[in-house]
Amino acid sequence: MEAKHILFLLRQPPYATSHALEALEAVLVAGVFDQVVSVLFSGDGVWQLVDGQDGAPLGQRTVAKVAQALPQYDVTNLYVCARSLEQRGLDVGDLALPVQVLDAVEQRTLIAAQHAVVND
Amino acid sequence: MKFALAVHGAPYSSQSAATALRFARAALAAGHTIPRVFFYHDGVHSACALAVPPQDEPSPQAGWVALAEQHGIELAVCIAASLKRGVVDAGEQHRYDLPASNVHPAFTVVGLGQLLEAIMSSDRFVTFAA
Amino acid sequence: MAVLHLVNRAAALDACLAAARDEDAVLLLEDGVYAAVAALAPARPLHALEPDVRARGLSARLADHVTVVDDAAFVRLVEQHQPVVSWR
Repeated sequence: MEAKHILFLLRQPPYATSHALEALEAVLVAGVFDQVVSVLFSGDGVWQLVDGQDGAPLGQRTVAKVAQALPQYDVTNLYVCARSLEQRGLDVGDLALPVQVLDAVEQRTLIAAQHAVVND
Repeated sequence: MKFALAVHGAPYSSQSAATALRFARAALAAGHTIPRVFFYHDGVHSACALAVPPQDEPSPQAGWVALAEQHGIELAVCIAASLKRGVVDAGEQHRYDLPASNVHPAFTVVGLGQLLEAIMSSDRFVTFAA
Repeated sequence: MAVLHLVNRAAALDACLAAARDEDAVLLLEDGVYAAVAALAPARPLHALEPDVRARGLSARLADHVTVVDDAAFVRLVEQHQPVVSWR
C-alpha cells in the first residue's frame, strides 16, 4: 500500500482536558506505521510546546515531554502556526523542541497535500 | 468510496456522535461503505450499555448498534481512552478485577493502531470533533 | 483536490479561514452554524448543515450567500474533497 500523508492538527491547550495528550499518543502510534506523518500545532495547541511545563502539580504527565518524544518515533515533520505564536507573544525560543514555523500560505499547502487530517 | 469516521465527543456534552451517526446513515444510503467507526477521547462513552435515555428521545447508542448490524460496521472503542473513563468490556473487567463491565456487545475495544489502520485503508477520513 | 473544512463552533471559523484556500469548501455544522447568520457571516462561500440550522431557528436568519445543505449533500462534499479538516 502506498504511504499516506496524514496530518495531525493540534489546536487544544494541554492539561484542562485529555485531548492534547491523547492526540499526541495517537501521533506516536502513527509514527510506527511508515506513513508520511506531520503535526501542525495551531491556536491554543501551541501551548503544548511551550518550555517550562511541569504536569506534576496537577498529577499529570508533562505534555511538552511527550511532544519531545515525537522524533524518537520517527515523527519529524513538526510545524507550528506563525500567527498563533505571534498572537500569544511567543517565538521558537519559547518552545521545548525544534519545530518549523509556517505562515498561512505554507499551512494551506501542507493541509492540501494530505490524504487525511486527524484533529485533537 | 470507503469512509473512516472518528467520534470524539460524548453524547449529551457534544453533538459529535449524533452528527456522525446521521452522516454515516447518509453515506451508507449513498452507496458508500464504512468499515470502522473509531470512538476516541470522550467519544468512548457511546459504548456504555448502561445509559438510559429519556423515553421521548431516541437512544444514540441504539442508532449505532442498528447501523452496525445492518451494514457490518465495526464500532471500535479505543482501549486506552475507554479504560480510564470507566468504559470496560468483560475481558478488561477480568484483567483489572473490576466489579462490572459496561461495553455494549456491538462495540469492540481495540488499540490506537486500529485508528491508523482505518485511515490508511479508507478513501476519506472524517473527524467529528468535540 | 480542494479541501473540505468542517467548523463546529462559530469561534473557530477565523482560524479555519486563515488556513483555507479560495477553492476550498467550508461547512458550518453544530454550533458552527451561528457564524452563518447575516450579521456574522464572512464574505466568502459557506455551507451550513440544515438540521443544525433548523434546530437553532436560524433558517430565515442566514446570510444570502450561505448554502444550506442536508446530510446527503454533506456526504457529497466529502466525496468531492480531500482531506476533510475539522476545526473547533
